[in-house]
Amino acid sequence: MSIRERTTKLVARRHDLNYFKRMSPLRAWQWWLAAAALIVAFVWFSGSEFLHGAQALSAGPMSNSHAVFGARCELCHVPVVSATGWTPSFGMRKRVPDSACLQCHAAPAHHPMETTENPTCGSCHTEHIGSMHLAAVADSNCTQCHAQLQSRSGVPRIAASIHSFAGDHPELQPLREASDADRRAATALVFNHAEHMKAGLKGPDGPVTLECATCHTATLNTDGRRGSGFAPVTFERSCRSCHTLQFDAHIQAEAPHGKVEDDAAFVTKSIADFAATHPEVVSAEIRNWPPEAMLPAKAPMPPPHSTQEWIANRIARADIILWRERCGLCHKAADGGVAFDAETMALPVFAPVKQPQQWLTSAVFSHTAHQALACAECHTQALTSASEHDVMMPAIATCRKCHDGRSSPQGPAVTAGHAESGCFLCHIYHGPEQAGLTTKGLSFAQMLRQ
Amino acid sequence: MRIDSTHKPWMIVTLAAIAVGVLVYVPYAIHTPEPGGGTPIGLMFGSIALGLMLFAALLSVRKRFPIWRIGRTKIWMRAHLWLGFLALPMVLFHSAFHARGVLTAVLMWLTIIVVVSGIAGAWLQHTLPTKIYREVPFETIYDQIPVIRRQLAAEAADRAFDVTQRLAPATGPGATVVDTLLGIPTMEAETAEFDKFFADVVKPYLAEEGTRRNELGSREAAHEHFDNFRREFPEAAWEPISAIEEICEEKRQLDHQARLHRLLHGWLLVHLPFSAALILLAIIHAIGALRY
Repeated sequence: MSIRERTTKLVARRHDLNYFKRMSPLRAWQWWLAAAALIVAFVWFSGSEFLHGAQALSAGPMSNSHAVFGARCELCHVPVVSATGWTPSFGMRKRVPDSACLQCHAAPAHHPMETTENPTCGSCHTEHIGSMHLAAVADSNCTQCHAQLQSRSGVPRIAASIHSFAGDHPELQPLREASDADRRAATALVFNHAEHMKAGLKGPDGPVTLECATCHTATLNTDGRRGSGFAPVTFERSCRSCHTLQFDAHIQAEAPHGKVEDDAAFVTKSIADFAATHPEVVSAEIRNWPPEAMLPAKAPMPPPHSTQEWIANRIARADIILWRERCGLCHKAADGGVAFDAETMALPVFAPVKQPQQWLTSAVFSHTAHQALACAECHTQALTSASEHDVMMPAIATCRKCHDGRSSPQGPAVTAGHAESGCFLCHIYHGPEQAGLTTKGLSFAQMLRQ
Repeated sequence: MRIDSTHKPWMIVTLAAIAVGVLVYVPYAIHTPEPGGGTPIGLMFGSIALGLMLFAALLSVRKRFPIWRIGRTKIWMRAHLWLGFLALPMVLFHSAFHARGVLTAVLMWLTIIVVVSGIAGAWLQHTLPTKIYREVPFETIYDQIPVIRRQLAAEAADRAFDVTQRLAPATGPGATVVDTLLGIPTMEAETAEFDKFFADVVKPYLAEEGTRRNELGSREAAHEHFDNFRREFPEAAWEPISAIEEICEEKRQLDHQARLHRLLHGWLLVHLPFSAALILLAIIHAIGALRY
């Protein structure tokens, strides 16, 4: 029970009736802090505008390549309609038209005769998302058309539904489209990889074990750096050290690896020159004919009795050695028959050698980017292929071992254990560029905020 | 403001709006390479978010002019609560859950702080009034607490003097020869002790707000003190001693009320300033985004 008397009247009498005329301290602090926050926000934004231009309004950090002029929004963001200051007006909105990009970048159209619509530059190359490569566009930019491909001509020349590399991307073109006839005609050279990759082959200086790089050397760019492809395999660089074109025991010089007619003339001249400079050898061989074993499948010629007959005999022998045993070892006849007929001794007509330097016509591939891998990891047939008809391009399944679609080109970093996957890695959207440099012609002061 | 069944329709509408937002956002995010605020759908969400923020800010205007016939304040408060909460998911959908620019990052954080502080405030507003009602029977108007406290201090001083008077009938005013001759003990030592206790403990306690370190800040400790004095003194002095104890209890409750009141309204010290900054910068962001 309360000792003190507490009636409503007594309690009410205690109150100061003027209290409502004063703002409660708590309330006052609320309004003062709100005012202070407004001032701070305004000062911060104004100061940022004054010191750093419109960067506070930037939607995000610039890409690496555009960061240098990131303080100059107007270089890309051009007004739709001219507007001054902050006065709202119709068309105030600025945007980045394609013309702004094309002032610096040449971007030929993508299959202009086939495409039904062309997306804008900004719809694929999204800026203001940080230090990303602008060319590394997301797959969805490509699949927006290629998932259900439509062509102006009616029927697309390529697969009409592709959603991802790891998913429904068709087999690589050379493996998909090469017929048996195409494969047979591919190189027109007889070559056995398996034989050449054996250990302890007979080399010019003793046993030798070849490696892929022995014959397949990377190209060099104009600046001396390794390129992304391989130089053509040439006889001079890769074959001659083991496969000589020596045609006569008396003549050390080898026949050049060139046209048949030129080689024939070289042989004739070489033997004639030898006969002219070594008459004693000629005489000795005429007396002791034949100096060497006869070549098989060649009807014996009558023994020479003169230098001219000796020369003819040696030339015939040299032709057989050269065309049948040297050149004929690899080169095929153009008509598919025997490369060289020793009966007729007619000069052979070899099939022209086709050595494709670019197997992927619609994509790019960089061996340099993959140089960490052993060649045989991807070119699995290289060690076992016994036929020149084998197209040793890796199947798409080999690529998908690493490029399995579990790392996206944009956004989060590439996931460990999975290679970056994306259409942009292999396919170039824009058509062939014209020669020459496209430049906007800016000065330093114009490009930088100075 | 209690969140009771009258809030149910608002909650349903808010959740439905969020569900619709999700249904719109998810396919848009999946099929758009770089979803963001500048896309048509992003702009739509942004416009909605800004509209909700501006509406939420209008509550302060509504409360400033209570006689305007533009809907009851209760309805405005419910709308402020739920539509203000809805602004956060709209902002997230608008921004596609990222904020890469300086201004956009600041705005994102401001939005989160404002909404979270608002949710915290709503919870406090829901729970604390009941707590105050339950724990502070001597509740008064918050702004009157200093006035009441001064009155309590004056009343306690009177009561303390009364204790002394009741213990010294032979020496104080009205003392008679008979009382003196009867030898009623004066209890000078105890009275002095009580006076010292009042001067050193009770008076300082009643003088200022808080002082929880004071012994009287604890109800049990205070009761023990006053009980001791009641044991020492005759029954005649118990009434003023108990009155002083009651005064201390009232002061204790007013301190508790002040603490709860500051808690009940202190969150606005965060919510209001950040809201003001958010509104200003959001408007700047909207104009800037339209400009670029």
